[in-house]
Amino acid sequence: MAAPATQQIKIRCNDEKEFTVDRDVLERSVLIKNMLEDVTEQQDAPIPLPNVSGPVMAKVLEYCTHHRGEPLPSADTEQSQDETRKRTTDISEWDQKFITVDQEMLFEIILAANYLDIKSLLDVGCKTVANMIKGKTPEEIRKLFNIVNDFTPEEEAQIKKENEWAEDR
Amino acid sequence: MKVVPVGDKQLCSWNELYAVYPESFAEAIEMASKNRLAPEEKERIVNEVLDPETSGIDLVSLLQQVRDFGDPLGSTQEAAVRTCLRSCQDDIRDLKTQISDTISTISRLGRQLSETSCQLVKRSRHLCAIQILFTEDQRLPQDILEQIFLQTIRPEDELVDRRSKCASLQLGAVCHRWRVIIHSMPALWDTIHLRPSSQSSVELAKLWLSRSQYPSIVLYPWKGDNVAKVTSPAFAFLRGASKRFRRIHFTGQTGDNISEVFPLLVNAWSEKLEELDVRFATQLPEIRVPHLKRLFIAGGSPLWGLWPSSAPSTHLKQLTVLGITCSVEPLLLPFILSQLPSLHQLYISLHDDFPPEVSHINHPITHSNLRYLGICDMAREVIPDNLLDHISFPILNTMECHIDCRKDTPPPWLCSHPFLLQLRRFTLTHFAERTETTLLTLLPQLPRVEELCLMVHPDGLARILGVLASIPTRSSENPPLVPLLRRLKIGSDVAFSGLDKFTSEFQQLIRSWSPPTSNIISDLGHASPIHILTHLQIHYYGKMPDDFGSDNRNLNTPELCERLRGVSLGLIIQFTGEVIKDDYAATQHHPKSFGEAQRYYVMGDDGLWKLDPEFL
Repeated sequence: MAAPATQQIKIRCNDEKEFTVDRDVLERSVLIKNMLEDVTEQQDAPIPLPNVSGPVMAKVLEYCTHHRGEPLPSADTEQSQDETRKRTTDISEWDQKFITVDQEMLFEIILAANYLDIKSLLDVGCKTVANMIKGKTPEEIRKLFNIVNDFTPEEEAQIKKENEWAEDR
Repeated sequence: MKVVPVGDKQLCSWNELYAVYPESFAEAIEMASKNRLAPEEKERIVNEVLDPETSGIDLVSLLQQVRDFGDPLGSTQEAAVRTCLRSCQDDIRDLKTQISDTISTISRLGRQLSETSCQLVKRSRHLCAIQILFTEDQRLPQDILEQIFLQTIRPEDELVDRRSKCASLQLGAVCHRWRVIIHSMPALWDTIHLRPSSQSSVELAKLWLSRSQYPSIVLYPWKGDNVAKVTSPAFAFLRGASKRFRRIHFTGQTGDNISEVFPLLVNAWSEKLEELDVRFATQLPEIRVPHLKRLFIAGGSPLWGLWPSSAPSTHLKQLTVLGITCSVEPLLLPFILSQLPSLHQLYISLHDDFPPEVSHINHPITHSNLRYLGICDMAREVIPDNLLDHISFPILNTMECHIDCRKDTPPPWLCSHPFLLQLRRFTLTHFAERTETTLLTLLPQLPRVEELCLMVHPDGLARILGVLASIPTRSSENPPLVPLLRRLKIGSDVAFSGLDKFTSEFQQLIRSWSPPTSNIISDLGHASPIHILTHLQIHYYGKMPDDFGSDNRNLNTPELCERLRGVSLGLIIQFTGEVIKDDYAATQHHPKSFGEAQRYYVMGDDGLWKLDPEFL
């Protein structure tokens, strides 16, 4: 007996790019899953995703397709800061390769994962950025992310003092 | 040129206020103005300045003529002198005009420069604001940045990695937005590392406490007069803030130090205290901490002498983790277990021979919560079967055994006891046997083990690897030796000396390791592909090599990287003997099976050092 056909869902990104995707792949996104559950009748109109562009969505879908079928984190796993810290910073080999993108795309993926509510992808993105930050000096971090040093003279003085205290320990 | 003031500042304009002279004359003119020039000096100036070639007339000779003969100047001569004077006056006027013009120009350009500078600052700030708005990280909402920061500064890193101890300060020094966010996250300030004798300890403690909620504190040893230090401002401050501390680690404190500090600090800290680590203390006063859950002490503590009086048993009944780092009398083991029903982790040192009274344990003990049992310095004679026959651990799944270095092989009971069958993680260190005999007996007893750590003698390493590698390929008739194994840590805990030897040994191991690796993985692995083994670690124990550079903490030196280039398997170098952590470092060597390296650690004399992935 043939396996039941998987329902196909259309989505439209903010650059009008459309994707037709298997429902179980799309349901990696809690946002889309909830939207689909709220709609009782099948609709042909694509789901608008105004906060995600086509190229970013393509990457997100690549991730969702690879991880389709894996258990989703339960909805009540609101983690405290302590619990978040206890999670390992290890990233699986596939995820590492997947997330090896330029910095702009990395941040776009993180924002998209946050918007679409894909916790595991958000986690991979955050861990990647964390690994980039680790062990670097403030100046190196600024350079890495093109961050402007916008401290007031008073803040600069306080930072200098704190560093001196830390050195003295 | 030198500019000297000549006029009254109140009355003159700027350009009238100053006369301009050749610099070499400035001093002479000043003297002349005070009528202090010697006659010879006056003559020198006249001769030098009134040069006939420049003046057009020999004024000096003319004056001499008037003086010598009293003859009045002829009309031609007078006209020439007048012309000379007029020319000088004209030149001076022209020069003054030029100076005035130049000063006006300078003034105008100064104003222009100032205006341009203002514009530059304004535009720079504008650019800065635009950059702030559109910088990648600024586009991230605060909750995502918080998550990133939490992943950047991890609690276990803070406890062991010296460089992580100030990571919160470092992140807070990147930009204003990061600083505000980081200061609002108590979780990032939950471990204070203090050396009470340092000048800044009070300021640092205040800083951390102002940003945290219920922090942990790690106190480092202090030198000199301990009693005096106990009354130091740092301790006075810490006593005042005592009720907020959740964990206390005294590192490197001796019994004498602790006995001075403990009553002043720990009992005052009792309210929130969940973890107390005084494992270096040989003497410890009574502990009355209502919420204490994790306790690490030395075995000589009088705490156990007080047992089972009602106070300690009441106050320690809630313990879930207990570590006793000095030798414990074997009979105390069943006693501790019976008194601490909530315990799920127990780490003890059992070095003494087992006394005959063990047979007097009449009532079997079942400890239904213990999941982890660590035994160090385990002598061959300790824990005979009849003791373990009286204690059962139904949910025990992790066991760490550090064999007494003096013995070649683990005690026989270890290779045959029934509880091995239920273990998921098993560690055997200081295992000095040079043959595969024990291992071949032991490994088949671990059918459920997923993590295996074997620290063996270097001389036996090749044989052990051979055992692991030569096991026939898995098949239904020939099941794998450790079928569920996913994490394998193997290495030697016998010291190496010198970096050269270390490097060559390691590289040799890598070379010899390479061919059997796939066999080991496929033979020990549960499924067919080699991916089943997710963690592989090569672990060495040794002295800090002398040539790690003058700053031992900087291990990422180009020289060392160059020396270890090509070494590509996971590596932990353990220098001081304490088990570090479960992390792994995988490699480029087998990129498909292990992925890229995540973290590398080196244990130094003063803590754990994380290596840059480029290190290897």
